[in-house]
Parts: sequence; C-alpha cells; structure tokens
Amino acid sequence: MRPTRDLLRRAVEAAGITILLAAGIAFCLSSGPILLEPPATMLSHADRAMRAQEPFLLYLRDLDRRLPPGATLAVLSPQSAADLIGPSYLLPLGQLPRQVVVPPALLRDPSALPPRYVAAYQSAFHDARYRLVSSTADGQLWELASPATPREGSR
Amino acid sequence: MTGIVFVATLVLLPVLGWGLVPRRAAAWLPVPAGIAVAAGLGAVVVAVEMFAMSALGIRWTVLRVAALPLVLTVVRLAQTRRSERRSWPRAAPLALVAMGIGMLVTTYAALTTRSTNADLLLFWGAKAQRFAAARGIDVPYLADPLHWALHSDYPPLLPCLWAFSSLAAANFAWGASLATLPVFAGFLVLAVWGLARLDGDDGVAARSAAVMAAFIACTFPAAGVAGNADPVLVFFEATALFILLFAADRPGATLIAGAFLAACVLTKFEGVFFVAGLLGASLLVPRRTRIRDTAIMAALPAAALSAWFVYCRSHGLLMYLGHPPRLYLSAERLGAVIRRLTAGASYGVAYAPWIVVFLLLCVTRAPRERWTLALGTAAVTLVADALVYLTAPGDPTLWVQWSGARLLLTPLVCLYAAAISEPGGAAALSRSSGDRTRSTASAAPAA
Repeated sequence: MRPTRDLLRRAVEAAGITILLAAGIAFCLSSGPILLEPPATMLSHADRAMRAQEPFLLYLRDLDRRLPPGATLAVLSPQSAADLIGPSYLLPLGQLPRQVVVPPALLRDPSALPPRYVAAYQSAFHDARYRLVSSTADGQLWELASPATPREGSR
Repeated sequence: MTGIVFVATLVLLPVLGWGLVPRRAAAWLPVPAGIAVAAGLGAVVVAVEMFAMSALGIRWTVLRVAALPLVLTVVRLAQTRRSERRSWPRAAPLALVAMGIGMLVTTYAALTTRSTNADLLLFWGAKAQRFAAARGIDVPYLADPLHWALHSDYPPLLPCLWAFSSLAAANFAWGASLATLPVFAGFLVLAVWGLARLDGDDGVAARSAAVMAAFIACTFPAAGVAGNADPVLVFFEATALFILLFAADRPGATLIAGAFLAACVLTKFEGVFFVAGLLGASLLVPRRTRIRDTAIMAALPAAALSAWFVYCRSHGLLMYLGHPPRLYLSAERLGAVIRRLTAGASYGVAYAPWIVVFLLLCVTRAPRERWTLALGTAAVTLVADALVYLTAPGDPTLWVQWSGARLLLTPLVCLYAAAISEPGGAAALSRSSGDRTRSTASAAPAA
C-alpha cells in the first residue's frame, strides 16, 4: 500500500507545485510584459489604484531636489481636502525626509505658524501670504512672502 | 550602491545570528535550516539591541549594533571543529528547478514593483527612514499627534531592521526595501528544506521546500506584501512551527522557537494571535514535557511584548496597546468580513493555494500530534483574522479588502506545514520497519 500512496502523494505534490508556480508566473504577466530594466518608482507596476499615485511620487522626488533641507512645507493634492492627515499627508512625509512636512490643515488654522512653502500638486491654491515661486504642468510652488514668520522646522 | 548594501545587510543576517544558535542545536540543524535559524536570530538580535539602545539613550551606529553578534559568530566559528561541519542535503534536479522558479518569480514580482504594498510608502518606510536619521527610535516623531496614522506603539522589529540597513547603506533605499520579500521568502524555503530533512530523506526534504517555494510564488506577490512586514512575520511564524513539528524534542529547539515567537510579536500585532494559537495547540499535544516547553516558549514573547509596552508607556506612545480591543459584533458586520475575506482568499487564481493544500492534506498521513499543532494554530489564526476586523467601530469592508489576503497567509502557511509534516522517504521506511536509527542529518540524540 505504501508505495502506491507515496506515488499518489508525489503526483499530487508535482501537480500542486506546477499549478502554484503557473499561478505565480501568470500574476507577473498580468501586470505587464516581462521587463528587465529597473522601474522608475516603487509604484511603476503596482496595482492600478497605487500606480495612479506614481506621478505624485515623481513630483515629490522633484520637490525634494528643489527645496532646502529643513524647510517647512505643506503639500496640497487633489486628495488632501478630504484626507487631512491620512495618505495624502503621509506620502510626502516619507518622501521628503530632509524637509519638515506639515499637514495642509495647518494652512486653515489661524493660530498655527504657516509653513515656508506650499506645493500645490494638481490643485488650486491662493493665499495672500504666499507668492508664486514656480509653476509647472503638475503643480505650483509657493513661498511665504514674509520670511519672518514661517513655522520653524521641529524635526 | 545604496540599494546593494541595503539588501546585503539583510542577506547577511545569518552571519550576525550564527553565534546565537544554541550550540547543542547547531549539532543537529541541517545546513539550510541552520542558515535560516541564524538569519532569524540575527534579525532578532539586531532589533532587540536597537530597541535596548534606544531605551538606554545610546545612539545607533552600525558598529555598535553589529559588534556583539559578530564577536559571538567569530567565537562560534573558532570553536567549531572541522568534524562538526555538516553537508548540504542533496536534491533532485526537478525539485531544485521548482525551488529556483518559485524564488525567481517572487524576486521578480517584488523588484519590478508588481507586489508593492502601500504601507511601505505610508508607514514602514517612513518610520525606518526616520529612525535611521535619528539614530534611535524617534519618540518625538512618533508622539507627534499629526503622526497618529504611523501607529506610535506598533511593534518595532521591521523599522529597526531597515534602519540598520539604512545606516549601513547611508540612506533608506526604498526600492531595495522591496527585496525584503524574496530575502525572507528564501530563508523560509531554506528552513523547510533543512527541517524537513530531520524527518525524511533528501528527496522528501527537497520536495517539501519546492512546495513551500511554489506556495510563496503563488500567494505572496498576489497578496501585495513587498515592502510590508508580512514576509518577515510569516518567516518567523512558519519557522517556529516547523521547528516544533520536526524537532520539538531536540536540544535547544524550544529556545529557538521561543525566540522566533518573540520576533513574531515584535513584528506585527497579528503575531500575537499566532503565538497564542501555537502555544494553545502545543498544550494539546500529548508530550511529556509540553507544559515546560510551552512555558519556555511563552516566556520570550511575553517578555518582548512587555518590554515594548513599558517603553511605549514610559514615552507616551501608547495607542492600541493602551486599551483592550473591543469587538463590534453583529451578524451584518461578521457577514461582510467573511465575504470580503473569502474574496481575498482567492489570490486571483480561483483559490488554487487552498485547493492544492486540501489535496495535499488528503494524501498526507502525518502523526496526530503534528496535525493538532499545525491545524490548531491555523484554526485559531483564521478565527482571529475574522475577529480582528470586528474591532473597528466603522465599516470594516475596506480594511478587509486592503489586508485580508495578507492576513490569511498565516493560517494558509500553517495548513501547508501540516501538509508537508509527514515523515517520509528512507527515514520513515526505516522507522516503520523497526529500525530506530536516525538518518545522518538527524543524528543528534533527543534531549
């Protein structure tokens, strides 16, 4: 009996391994053709919802190069109106480690010191305290007009 | 270069943990399992040291963190006699090919960002990067009310481990952090390969490892775990379980399993459910030393979680740990959770991992105590997975949709452990014919 059961077990193992590996390969192929060059960002081939954030990630990467270390900054995005300190705040927080990212909600708090910069990614921004520094298709960068009062970087 | 150094520190974890493998366990651990166990202990010692240094106000440097484990490894190597050095188990070419394809698929999916988890960007990466910059657990950063979504009291093992890699690489490497998935998946395959060899011949051990590699390739990328803590957690969970399945009576095994369980609770809160399930199931196993062994295994995770709790409490970081979870139970909510979990369980391949493991279980004749241990743990973690979503006061649907497939990896890997826990090959035949002589890889006497 034992050799027969061993054979059956080996057959099930072989079939199972084949099915599981085929499923893994199919998953890789389902998210685009096989590529050997490194992806542009961590989201280049992620699922559709995350991939939609890739331009924002590239925008943040560019901001990191342009802004001085230690500068305080609020990043506005199409999502940030509804999502005050959720992903739309956490994403810049992680991607701009050299700057001090504050939640956009602080801009509406009259008792809070305003950040030195406001980056408006695909969203409108107007505040008499800020002057436009640069504008691209993706967004605008604003700087506090009076440099004496920006919120100090605490990190 | 930053990415290469970052990944190298993870790949070289066995070097840091080698000196911590109990000497009496090193005598019976087959080489692949020895590497995996050393990797796990290396990760534990790095994280525990970094946690302790933060508690004592000592700034992290690579040298300060790595010095003690490296010295222990050098001492161990110096004490190891040439006759104690062990050989690698042989494997049939087909099993090796299956293992290779499984690891290749997993690595490809992770490094080409097909399996990226959003929590890497929102949570794990941000924390690790910040800890590395602060050269310690950054309490003011975690305690900032604006950072509540970073979960101030979430277990610190992965951010510490990545902070260590960041210190070595001089920066946090976002892309390279995705390689944590294939690295720890590789350690898990090695653990299965070596530990299965203790109770089977070379062929059985290699086939078991191939099954595990295929399981990982099918489920981990589809669950989107690259950059999350789940690959690390499942490695610790599954290795602890395999140690108890294949080596529970061997000297030093209980201590290693306890250290891995401590790592589970320091990696994710969900690790607590696994530890509770495994300890509960191990009490049901009819073994003479079950109470003593369970007490030893429980002591380490209890100490680890208590230490983290005290640290968080004394630094004002308590969030989830500050109050007992409350269940918002209703038939409607439970139904919604079960429906979404069931959807996540398909892994996009029509439940293939569940069907395969069911068929494997049908042709497996493992000893009853092994099934009690593996299936009991699977049952507890499955129920816990459903209940954890009911602790949210709001609609849990999105939460389950987001993480259900990841959480189900734990009960699923327990089922695979049960399915490959049958003593097999020459070792089983020799036992069944009355020959009690152990195979060459399992030559050390039981405790």
